[in-house]
Amino acid sequence: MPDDPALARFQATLLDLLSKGQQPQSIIDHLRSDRELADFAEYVATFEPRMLEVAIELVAKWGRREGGIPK
Amino acid sequence: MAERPLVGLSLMLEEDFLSAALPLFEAGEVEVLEWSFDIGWSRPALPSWAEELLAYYGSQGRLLGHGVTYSALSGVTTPHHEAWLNQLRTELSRRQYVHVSEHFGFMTAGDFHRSAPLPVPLTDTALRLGQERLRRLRDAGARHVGLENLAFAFGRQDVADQGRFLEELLQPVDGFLLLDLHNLYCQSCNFGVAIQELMNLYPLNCVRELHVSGGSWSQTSGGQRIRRDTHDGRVPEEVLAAVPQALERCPQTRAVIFERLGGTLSPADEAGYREDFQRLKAAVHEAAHA
Repeated sequence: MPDDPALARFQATLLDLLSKGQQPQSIIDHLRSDRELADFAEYVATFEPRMLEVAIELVAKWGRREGGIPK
Repeated sequence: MAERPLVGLSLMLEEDFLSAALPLFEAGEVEVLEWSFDIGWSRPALPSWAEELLAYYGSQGRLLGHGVTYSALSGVTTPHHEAWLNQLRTELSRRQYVHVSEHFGFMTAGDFHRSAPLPVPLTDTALRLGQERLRRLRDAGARHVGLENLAFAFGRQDVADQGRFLEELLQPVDGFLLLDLHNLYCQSCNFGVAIQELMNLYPLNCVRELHVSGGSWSQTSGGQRIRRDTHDGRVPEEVLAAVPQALERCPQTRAVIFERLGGTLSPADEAGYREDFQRLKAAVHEAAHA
């Protein structure tokens, strides 16, 4: 299986940030300034803060972490 | 269109779904049934009425499988993926599915073993990863495998790329596209692009199934309305109007499924639920005779 560790790191960081419910612009800033996620900076630049607000709600509703308390 | 697509329901396990849909089943109106089998895996048992429906539609060659939690575009393969495929093999040995679909996007990453499906940027490595995951899905025993387009987009790039991404993901396994019209409607509302224009971005010759549902609106802190694919409301007129257009443009469509989330139907909603289904069915019939 051709795993993509860089994509995995990006996805994990994104879910973690969304789950913390930070301000959308600060999530964008964090993702764009993280050197380990540099490959995704252009993609993140296309994110719209209003849609990140929705993503925060989605992760709050459906997100489950290992060892987390079922909601 | 080769033959009229069958029109059916997405099976929910909640009592409100049974109450609303039972008259449709009893009248023989439901021609095909879709089951999100992995929702059932975490339960000790399904209600007997649900088992009976699954057995009946399976025996008639009219049962469609629709996974929710595979996470086809996660960056790394985890024990979750292997366990999911093992459970799918068991599922496919128990019930006869015409085809099996999943969702575009990812929902597991890091220590998240579940989330909502979210989009992934189109890159060569993500594409190869997704193609391999679809091969594994097929190799687990699904005769035909497909992916559903996603409603949510972080921005316009996701909207622009998803159709091409799906086309390239599906091509190596000769997979099919499950075109969700309400998901297109969400992107249409949220990004100001007509549904028909969005359709142009997708490999419509690969569509075997349509999804139709309702949803809801939410408001951002800036006061902007966002259309959400919450499956908890009536089907918008714009979505119903898109059905004949979609069928005309997707001649390989075999089934049209009406989705409504269980637990969202009050007794007062039941008549509207059945009306939406009948209107959908009429739209499909009308398109077939056009």
